[in-house]
Amino acid sequence: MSNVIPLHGDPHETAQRLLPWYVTGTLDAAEHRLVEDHLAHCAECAADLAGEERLRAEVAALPDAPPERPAAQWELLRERALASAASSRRGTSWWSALPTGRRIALAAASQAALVLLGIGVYDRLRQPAGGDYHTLSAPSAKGEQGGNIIVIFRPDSPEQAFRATIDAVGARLVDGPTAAGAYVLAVPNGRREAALATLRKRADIVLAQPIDGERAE
Amino acid sequence: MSGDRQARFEQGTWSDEPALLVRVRAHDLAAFERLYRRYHPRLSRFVTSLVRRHGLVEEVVNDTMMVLWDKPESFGGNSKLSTWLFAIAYRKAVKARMRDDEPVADEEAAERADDDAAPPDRDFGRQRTAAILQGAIGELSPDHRAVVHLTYFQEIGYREIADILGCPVDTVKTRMFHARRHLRRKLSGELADWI
Ligand SMILES: [Zn+2]
Repeated sequence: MSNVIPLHGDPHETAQRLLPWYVTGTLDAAEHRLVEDHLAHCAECAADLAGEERLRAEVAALPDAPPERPAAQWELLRERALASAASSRRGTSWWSALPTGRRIALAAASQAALVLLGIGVYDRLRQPAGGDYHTLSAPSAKGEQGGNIIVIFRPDSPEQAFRATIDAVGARLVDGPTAAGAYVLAVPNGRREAALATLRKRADIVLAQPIDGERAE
Repeated sequence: MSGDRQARFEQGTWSDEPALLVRVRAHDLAAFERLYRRYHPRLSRFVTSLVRRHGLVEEVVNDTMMVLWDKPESFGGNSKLSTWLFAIAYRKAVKARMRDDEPVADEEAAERADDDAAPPDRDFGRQRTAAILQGAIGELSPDHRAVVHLTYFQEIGYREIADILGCPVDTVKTRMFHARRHLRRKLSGELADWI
């Protein structure tokens, strides 16, 4: 995503084109300011803003056709998912390559992984042992940082390879692995985007995501 | 779902989503159901704005969710999960539309506008406005409708909309500009204060 906003051109025209997203509050700070500044001294845009707010409210309030039997829809999808999982087991995915006993163990362990990731890690990251509560994105007093990236390595990647990968992006291993091969890494916040970009390019990584809800730039 | 209420939603990202995705990778049906129930309402509403016919809407939404189940590795995490799902749903809806070839949907909307033109109760004005708006939206091209829906109803920013529709950001802005002009023109005849 580009951080450079083209500010060339007529500010009136720019404001006109950005108004819908100004109304929904989805512009970035610079664009928001640009529209706001223009609205202060353009009567036409100020009048359009009122109409725009009204239009948004009317569209958002339009009645929705209720979905047909949502429970039945899920049952349908569930059957498809089960059938597809069964047939992919005969295929060549890493999952299907495992012996049946191991697969069952892994499925059970992934429940445990949720406990680790969903409750254990998040709570620990949000409330470090030090005691005082702070959110992940806030730097801690000691300069120590909690995990802010989750990565999943290919199940067949050798341990030295992923150690090297973690070192290459200047990350620290905070937690993992879970049954599904997920690790929680910590990188300094300013370098997180660069680290994520590098991680996603590595062949031994299948997923790399920020985990504290901070929006990626 | 109580589980979802407990999960924190921050700046467009559900805090429990990475964990759910990890579970979906291990073919955990409960995690998949959780994501399905979370995204199904938003996805169906979006797809409804593109294809209208009910059976087709469910088909597109379920096909979209099946991509997550069958190829979870194709979500690399470099966008929000919602953006990724909306983009898949959009492409599938466009294909379904071409297959189904149904100009019927737009006529239906216009008919609805006529039918509802004079509801006899005290919400007269409101319902009439809604009916006219519904009809006016039906007159837009599906691509314009998608932008209007994603902007006003889903409250998604224009950059993310461009990612979903796979088009340049300027195209999103231009479509929205023309769509608004059309809708406001249609409504201005209705209400004196619309301008
Ligand atoms: Zn202006």
